[in-house]
Amino acid sequence: MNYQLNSVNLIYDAEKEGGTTALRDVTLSFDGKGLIGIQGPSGSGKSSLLYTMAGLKRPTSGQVFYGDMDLSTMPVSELASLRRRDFGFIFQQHFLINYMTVLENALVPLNMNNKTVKKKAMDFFERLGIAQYANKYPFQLSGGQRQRAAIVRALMNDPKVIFGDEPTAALDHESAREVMELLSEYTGNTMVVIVTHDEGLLENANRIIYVRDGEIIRQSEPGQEVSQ
Amino acid sequence: MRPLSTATYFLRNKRKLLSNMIIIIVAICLVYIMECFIASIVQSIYPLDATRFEHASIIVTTENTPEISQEILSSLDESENIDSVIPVTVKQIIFSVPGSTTHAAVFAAAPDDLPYLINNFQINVVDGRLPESGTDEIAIDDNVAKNNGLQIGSQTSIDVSHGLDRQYIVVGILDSESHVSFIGSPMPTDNLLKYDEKGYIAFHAAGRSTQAENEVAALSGQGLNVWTLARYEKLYATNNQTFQILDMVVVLSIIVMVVCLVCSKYAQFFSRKSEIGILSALGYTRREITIRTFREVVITNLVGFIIGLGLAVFLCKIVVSAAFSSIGGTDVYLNGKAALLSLLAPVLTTVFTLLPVNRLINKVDAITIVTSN
Repeated sequence: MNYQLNSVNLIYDAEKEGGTTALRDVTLSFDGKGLIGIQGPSGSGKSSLLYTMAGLKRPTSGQVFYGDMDLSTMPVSELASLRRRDFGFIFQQHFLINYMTVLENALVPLNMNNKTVKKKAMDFFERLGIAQYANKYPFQLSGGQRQRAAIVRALMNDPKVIFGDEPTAALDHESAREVMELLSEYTGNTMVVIVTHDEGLLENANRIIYVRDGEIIRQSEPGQEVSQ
Repeated sequence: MRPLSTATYFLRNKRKLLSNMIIIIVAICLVYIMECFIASIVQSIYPLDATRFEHASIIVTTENTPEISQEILSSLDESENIDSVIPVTVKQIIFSVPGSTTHAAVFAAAPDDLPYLINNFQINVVDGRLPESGTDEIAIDDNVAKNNGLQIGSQTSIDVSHGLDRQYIVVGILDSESHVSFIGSPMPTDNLLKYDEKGYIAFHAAGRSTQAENEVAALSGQGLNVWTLARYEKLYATNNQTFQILDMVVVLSIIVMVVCLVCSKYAQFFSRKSEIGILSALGYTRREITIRTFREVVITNLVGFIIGLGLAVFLCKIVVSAAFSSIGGTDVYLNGKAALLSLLAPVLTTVFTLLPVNRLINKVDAITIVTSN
């Protein structure tokens, strides 16, 4: 599904004097597939851009279209349902629920527990090398193992868009590459949007967006560089 | 089990569930047992005092009016509201249950009047016989006998301030709703009777109890001590205020328990803020999260209530029965009011947990949670 951001501005505490501008007049469009990287220094607005695209932040002005749906005006409950149906999230921290097993955590977005979904989760666990921890609790796992479980959770609902905010920050370089390879497999039909400091992880990216002070300063695509 | 089902949460948080339930169960048991205790006192004392006045009113002489005039007796005899007026010696015997003490009626009457009294107070002689006239014998009400540890052949103790002023030998056990006992002496004609021991029982004519009571009650204006059901109920209502205060204490203790429970539950939900945030970020609506919370709270309280009520009835059967039945009182272990008051604890806990938790769910910002370190 196409993604379109039209003149998006995001100002924190906009109602107060001297609000902080996180995004400034951002206009972007995506064709709904491929690996999209977002890069920029700390506090540049990378995560704000990601979460605005994901409907977790509402722009102060401008429009965010997902297909023909305007996320900037969509009611909160519909937005939530859309996130659950079409989006997958990998956050900087795993945010697994501690009293559930790793397998149950992976099933949270679906809230189902039948053989099919369990097998699907186990296949992902296998792929990420944590199958033996499926019935353990998150606090029994290392940081990297937890993050992998969180990645499986993001893939369980066959999302049309996967949003990753520094998803490999807790992983060593090798594990991070494995995760990126796994995510790359989805880019044929899925749009994977990744915020990362590690440019090396974006070597297979179809497009990299560079953000500074809330503005898109540069975009690069394989074989060409596009400035906004 | 679905990962977000209530069963999964309970299964993975058994300790929390247990600690919440134990508080509810203890609260329900305390409230229920206390209420049943109060109900048992009321049910033990009220019938003992009041039921006889449903059949008759009792007129007792006083220091100012030591004799009832013939004129009064004639007017009562002729009244269509009064079936019969029987002269009696009025005595009493102590009856105590935990939390309250009263006196049960003991009468002596002429041998010719006894069958009428037995018949009109609907008394059955369940064991032994009625007392011989002029003897120190007593046929005692079954409950009163149990309360005083008496059986056929045993002797009553002398306790002038609380009951009989001489020893009587128990010759019969009586059973009636009126809880009336009979002694063989002193007879109503005895000149040595004190002013407050001489009396008349005025039996109401069928269907004219109210008129009879009004007619007899008017005699109190002539210096006589007149006991009717209306007077007793007025007195009982005054004494009942003690029980109302106890009820208020019960309600207050429920409120204290609810406050403690709500604080503890809110703390539990507050510690699940990041869970609420992440579910919201993953696409669960506030309504879905609230419903999930609602289920957890309601099921905890409902199951706690059912277990608590069952346990409370069981404990009541043991504790209250031992305290009341064994001494001739009435044990109440199934009580609607007690169940209703017990229900207050889980209902208030549910309401006052859900209100702030719902506010918490609405306030939790998914983005703040997922971007926090």
